[in-house]
Amino acid sequence: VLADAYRFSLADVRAMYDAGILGPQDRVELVHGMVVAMSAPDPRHAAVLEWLAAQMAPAARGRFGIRVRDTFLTADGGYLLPDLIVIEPIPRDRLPETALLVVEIARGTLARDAGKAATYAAAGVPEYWIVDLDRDEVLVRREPGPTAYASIERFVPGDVVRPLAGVLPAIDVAALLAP
Amino acid sequence: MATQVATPAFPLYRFSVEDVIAMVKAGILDEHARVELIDGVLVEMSPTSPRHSDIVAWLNAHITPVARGRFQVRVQDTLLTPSGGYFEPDLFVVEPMRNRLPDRALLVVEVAYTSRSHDLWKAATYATAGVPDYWIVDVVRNEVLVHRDPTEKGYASVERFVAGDVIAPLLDVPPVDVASLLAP
Repeated sequence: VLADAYRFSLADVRAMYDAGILGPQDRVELVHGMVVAMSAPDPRHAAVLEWLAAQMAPAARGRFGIRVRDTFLTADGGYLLPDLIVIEPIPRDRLPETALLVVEIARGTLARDAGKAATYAAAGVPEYWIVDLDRDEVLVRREPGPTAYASIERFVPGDVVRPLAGVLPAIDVAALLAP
Repeated sequence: MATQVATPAFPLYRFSVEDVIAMVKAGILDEHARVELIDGVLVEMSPTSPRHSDIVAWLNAHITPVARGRFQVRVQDTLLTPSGGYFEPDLFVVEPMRNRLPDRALLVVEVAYTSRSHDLWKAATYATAGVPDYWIVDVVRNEVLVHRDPTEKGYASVERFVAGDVIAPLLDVPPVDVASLLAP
């Protein structure tokens, strides 16, 4: 950990995009004031994400918003770009600070995504899924506390994950991992 | 202790020197922010103390009068590093130049109050950049570590000077009395 890294604000990162210091192709997150590079595109990651978003969209329509790789503001003034979030409707001029469900799809990024659990728990996200493409499993964290989730459950092909928000569809893990 | 600028879990975005210059222009970064760019990551420098400032001022006054025309003394200014970043050494001496940022120096001096490990870590970079004479003035231990004979792997020679000693700079400037330097 870099104790003395310079800490940027969200406004700083916006200004970097405005000034062309960061370009449209640069996908970054702001974690504890540090600008973090997102992982490189990956075909399987994209296919799994597309499949999952398609499953969620019909059930969410009119009730919840589904956002894919979009901004999630964090309590420390930074932001993350989770692969998929399900949110309650919010005003058009606001960015979400919490969600009903956050899903990260991990391919070589399990440690990084597990590291985000504290942030999502602190934001009161009731469930956080990591779809681990390296191990072909889904880690479902529930019961958020101020610094961590109290429960972690592992789902493998053959299992079905039922979202806490009952209107969202149950997800067949085998279908999710091999869309 | 090495200064670590990335963790595997969070691959930090790497900025270039041009990016940092653009940040200052865009008002994102204060022109006077005390930062360095190490492996593409902006790092905050420790705040200076009065004694730190006194020592830098004393050295500046010692070298600048004899520098005229032959070289330039720069204080807490930009020195580009071979890895594409930059440091802001407390004081360094360069050959006369205009309209460009220096990427090598004839002498670099860092005054360490709380930053000794960071300044020791910088030795590898200064050695790679071919800086022939690198001094760490450690105001806590009251000593000066003089690094010489730069190689690709670091400095081949490190010598310790304390009050009572005199350092003869490789540059053609008057010898430095360590007692005077440490108690300016």
